[in-house]
Amino acid sequence: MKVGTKKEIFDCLRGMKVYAPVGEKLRFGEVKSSDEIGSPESIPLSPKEAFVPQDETLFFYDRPNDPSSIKEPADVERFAVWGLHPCDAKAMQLIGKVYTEGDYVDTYFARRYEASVKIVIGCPNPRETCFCGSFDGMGPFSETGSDIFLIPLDSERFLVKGTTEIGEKLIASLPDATDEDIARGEEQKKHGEDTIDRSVPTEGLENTMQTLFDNEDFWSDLYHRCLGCGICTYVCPSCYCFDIQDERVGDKYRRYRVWDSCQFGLFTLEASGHNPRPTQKERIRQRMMHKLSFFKLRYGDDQLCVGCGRCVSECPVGIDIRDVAKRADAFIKGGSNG
Amino acid sequence: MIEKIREIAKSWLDEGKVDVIIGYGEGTTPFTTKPIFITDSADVSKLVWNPLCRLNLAGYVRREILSGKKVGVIAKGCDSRSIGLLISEKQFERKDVSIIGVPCGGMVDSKTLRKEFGESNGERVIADWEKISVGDKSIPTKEILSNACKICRYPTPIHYDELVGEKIEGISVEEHDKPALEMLEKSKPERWEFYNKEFSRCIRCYACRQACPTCYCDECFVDSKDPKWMEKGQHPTDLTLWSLGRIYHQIGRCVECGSCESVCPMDIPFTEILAGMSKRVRELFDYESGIAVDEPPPLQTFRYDDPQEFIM
Repeated sequence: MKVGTKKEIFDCLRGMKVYAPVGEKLRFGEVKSSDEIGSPESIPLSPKEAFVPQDETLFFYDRPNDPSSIKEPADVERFAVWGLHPCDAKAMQLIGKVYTEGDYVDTYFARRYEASVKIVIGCPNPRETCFCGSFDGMGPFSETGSDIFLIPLDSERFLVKGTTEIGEKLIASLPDATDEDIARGEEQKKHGEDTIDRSVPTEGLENTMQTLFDNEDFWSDLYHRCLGCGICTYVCPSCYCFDIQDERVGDKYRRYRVWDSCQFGLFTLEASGHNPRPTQKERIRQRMMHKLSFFKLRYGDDQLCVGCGRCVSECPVGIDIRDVAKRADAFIKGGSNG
Repeated sequence: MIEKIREIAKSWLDEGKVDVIIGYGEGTTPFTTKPIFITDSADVSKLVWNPLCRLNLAGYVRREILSGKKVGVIAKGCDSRSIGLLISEKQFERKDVSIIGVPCGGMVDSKTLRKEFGESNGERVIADWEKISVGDKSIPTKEILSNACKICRYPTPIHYDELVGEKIEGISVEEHDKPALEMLEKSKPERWEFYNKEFSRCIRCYACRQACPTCYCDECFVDSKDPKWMEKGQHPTDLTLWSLGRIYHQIGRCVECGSCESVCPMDIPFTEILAGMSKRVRELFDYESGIAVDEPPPLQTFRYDDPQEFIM
């Protein structure tokens, strides 16, 4: 176990591009010095965009209908992402299941994930909307998906642990932690573990949600007030849907993909004009079912929601996924009245 | 005041005057309320009224009326103006909606409070018209009003069936125009740079559009594929075109409720630019949106004596 300040840890990453929360931009971006690194809590967006950029070039081409004119974007070199929380690191693994398991591998995501050094910060003081501890095997100090794991000791210093070979090598030059530092780290960890909300019922939730699919009483409250904006899906670390477009840039062309949201009517609009999810009722239901049921039924093990609470704190009309899970549980236990 | 609101809501529901009352209920997180739809008069106790009742409800009113319901709504000055604007644009008729008008002391953005207070940590949160407080820390409500509410001309509803509470005077035209004039004092390149910088944060979640009662097009220009007016990516040109394009579609229609600014997760400031637009429309056409329900917005009609400064 090592110990270091933000600057000292940043210095270990010399030669790499570093992505971190940038306060002024309110999102993750490249930083050139440790002074530019903001707190992940000060921005609404998750670190997802370091792995799945909002706007990503797939390839350039000189002439339509001429595959020989295609040019791939530059290779991704090793880079570091500072400021994931354990929920975010988990979310990147879950996106990885979709993008890289099975017959087709999304090389764009795969190479970014492979090339990244994930610096995960544990949470001694989870936010009021955080509930990662409600999910099996997760918590504010889970090291899953990290290369370097940081435990904040005070406002300046971190306990630093290399959790993969790459991570260990990078931090080798930092001083060893004293017994006092390690004890302080344990205290911080205990505080986080004791504070995190574990009250959201998630066991068997995937099946409970299935039985509520057609229950008007259950969804009515949500879809009447849902505005149909994309905030929840864009701040979510585990929402991974995208749209593909072509654009002309000068005398060349670019094929690119951008984040898309199941909350938009356009998302499911078919060429014929038919829309299988014609209203906000089907759209908000889709999101909740995907997060709390479909994914686990399809991939096993985990729910797609990781309990980061961003959608809860950013929703302009108070739609609260914790509340959805609690109400689902109550609906099943208490009959139809919730 | 909330008792009176609940009482009217209950009687309207019981009489069958309305099928649904749209108002505000407690949110599940500190510093928030959420829009609620009450169909059973036993539920009127869920209604709340405080400086966190931020969102303009007129968009919901239009949607519920179009779905065939008799709608009742709790309306601040701005909500009532939006309803007036929608009536003037023939989206529905005045008789389709019953309005509980409530003079408004100004609203506070929940994200401002999160920045100001951080987390509540289980301490008692008070949000009333005097102060917002968490535990021992307290801020007078008047001092942290959202930008749009600071320059509100019409805190008292213009259109209502019942008015609950004392009328509140709006600020003068001169006071209203101050932020817009400050912006106009900057040179055009400075303003252009300022807005490009602000709009560059846009993540295209379209919350501004979705929260705006006046944005009700079946197909928004940003979603149109044929013609494709603009690209979908993060190029600054497209981000500016989107935000400015949406704002241009609001000329003579925006009631300056501030919903777009309050829902924007990326803190894009829309208030000054919208206030400047309203100022211009007022000066050119002697028109303020949402006041007269029988007068169409100026860009949707013409008169032979229009100033036409931009041509002459």
